[in-house]
Amino acid sequence: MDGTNGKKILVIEDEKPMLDAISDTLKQNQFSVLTADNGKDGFDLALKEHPDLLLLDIFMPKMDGLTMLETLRSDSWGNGVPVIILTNLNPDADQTIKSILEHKPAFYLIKSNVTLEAIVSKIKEVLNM
Amino acid sequence: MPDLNDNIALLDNSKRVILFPEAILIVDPFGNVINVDQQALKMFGGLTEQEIVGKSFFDLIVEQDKLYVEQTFQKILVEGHISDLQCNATKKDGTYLRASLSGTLFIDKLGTSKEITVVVHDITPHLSELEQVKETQRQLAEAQQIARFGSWEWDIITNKFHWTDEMYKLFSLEPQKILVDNDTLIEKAQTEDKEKIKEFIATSLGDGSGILDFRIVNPESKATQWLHVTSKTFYDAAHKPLRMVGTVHDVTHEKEIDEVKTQFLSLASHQMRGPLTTINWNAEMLLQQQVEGLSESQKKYIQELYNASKRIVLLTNDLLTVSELELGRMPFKPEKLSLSKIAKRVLEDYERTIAEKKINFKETYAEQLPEIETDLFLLKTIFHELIANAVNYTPPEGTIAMNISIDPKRANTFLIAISDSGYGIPQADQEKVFSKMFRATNAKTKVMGGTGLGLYIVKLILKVNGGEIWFSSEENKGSTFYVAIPFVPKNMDSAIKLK
Repeated sequence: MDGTNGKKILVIEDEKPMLDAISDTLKQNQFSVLTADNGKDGFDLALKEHPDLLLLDIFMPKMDGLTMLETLRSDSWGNGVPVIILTNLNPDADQTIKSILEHKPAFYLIKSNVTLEAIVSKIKEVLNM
Repeated sequence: MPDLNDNIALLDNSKRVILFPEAILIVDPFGNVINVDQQALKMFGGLTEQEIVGKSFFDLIVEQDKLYVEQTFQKILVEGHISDLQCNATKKDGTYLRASLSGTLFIDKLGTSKEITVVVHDITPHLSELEQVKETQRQLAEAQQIARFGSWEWDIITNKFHWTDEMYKLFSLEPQKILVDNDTLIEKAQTEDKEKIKEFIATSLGDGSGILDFRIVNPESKATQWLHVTSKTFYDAAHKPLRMVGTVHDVTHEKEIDEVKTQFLSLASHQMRGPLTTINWNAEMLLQQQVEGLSESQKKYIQELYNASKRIVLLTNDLLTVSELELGRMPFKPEKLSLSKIAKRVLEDYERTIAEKKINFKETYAEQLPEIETDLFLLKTIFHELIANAVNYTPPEGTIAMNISIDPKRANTFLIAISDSGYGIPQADQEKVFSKMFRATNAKTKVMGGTGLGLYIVKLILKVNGGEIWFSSEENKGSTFYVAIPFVPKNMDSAIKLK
């Protein structure tokens, strides 16, 4: 393996500073990182590359995160892949997200409340690393 | 008949105690004035004795009343007395005075000489007082109409109600056309608010005052109107309620503004989270990684920026919680939880600060506590706010004790008590502790970054879930906060709509 831990993470996030911070941190933690800045491209990339885990933003152009997740869950591979929703929407205050979270392996983190370190820990926990 | 000698004594001004402003005149049976007192001279506009003594008393009376007064006076000679003969009299300057006359006949011992003592009571001011009252009432009615403000009174003893015209109008009723009572209020209120009115009346009777916002539906426009009602109760010496008065005010517009304001706050807080995330993550990367060329003091500056940014995140989170609770949009999903487990989980977030400040934190949990049924996020928030307050407002090396038990006074209720040896709350600030954005005067100088929202949030949550919060505190000694929270949430239906 080319200096990575063998796990491939797809980060779908439209805000460049956040996307950069996450992908840099993941790379430093030996993950392979794929990125997309909208839900549509993220979905295509996911089906093509079959990453081990998706980090998914909600508010994005072209296709928002929730629509993308629903589309993903209808795919035979996409049905089982773990997804961590990274958003600044308070999921406790949003019934839509709450109902999505009841689907398959999906977790949520509120961006402003978590450190990059905590995101990495969560990924490792979900992937049993 | 009284003796004439008595009559002379009456006129002796030096002996007369003027408690009341009546004037006294002594007239002969034909009405000619024999003598007057000082008060009479004054009452008729500053007459001199020469101007009245020897003249006819009836000349003081206006033409229209003269004949009637003269005839009535004749009665005195027969019956010995008349009282409250009302007429208009003329003053020296030509203005009128409304007079109430009483007359008593005095006869000397031989029965030959007769005199009549006339007592004149100036009732002009009474009339104008009445008119003043009428004028004040008119002004009040106008003001109430402009302000959409009604007032009401309840005579509890007779169970009689008085509503001002504007009160009737607020409820879309024709003023003073129907009899009203407390049931009228209940009947007009929106179904969900009927119980609240009953509670309001009970509270007003018991506590001496009450405040309530409730909704009615306008029968014509079908629009919901918000009314704000206040009350004050008056009691007798035995604390039996006698009378209740109050106001009703249309606050629909204020409620609308309030809602828009809260929505704005919610939106703004969400929007702030994005840039804050970027600041935090970049600061974290700078601090955690070996960035080349970063000196120790530069790292310290970045740490300060990071700390400040994290404080804004906390404030933003509190503001969001408040706005969701106030807008009634906070989801409430009760589940069975272990109080002690949740408390411990929340406590983990504060372990570092507790260790850094060398605080002695004691936890005690009563044995075999049943599970609580409530919303996880809201329960965690209660613990967060209470523990954060205790930790933040206790100086280094202080003590904090958290005790979770069954409330000995309330049925099926837990009692959470958190006491600290902290700064305490000054007596003068204590009643405002649960108000929004309130921070105690001593807290502001000692701890940076408090939002003044924590206890307000706990209060709002307990309003949704059912439960109470109270405290005891002494400045520089510490505070104990108590939360009584039921095993199962009360008013399940009100969880969605807080307002």
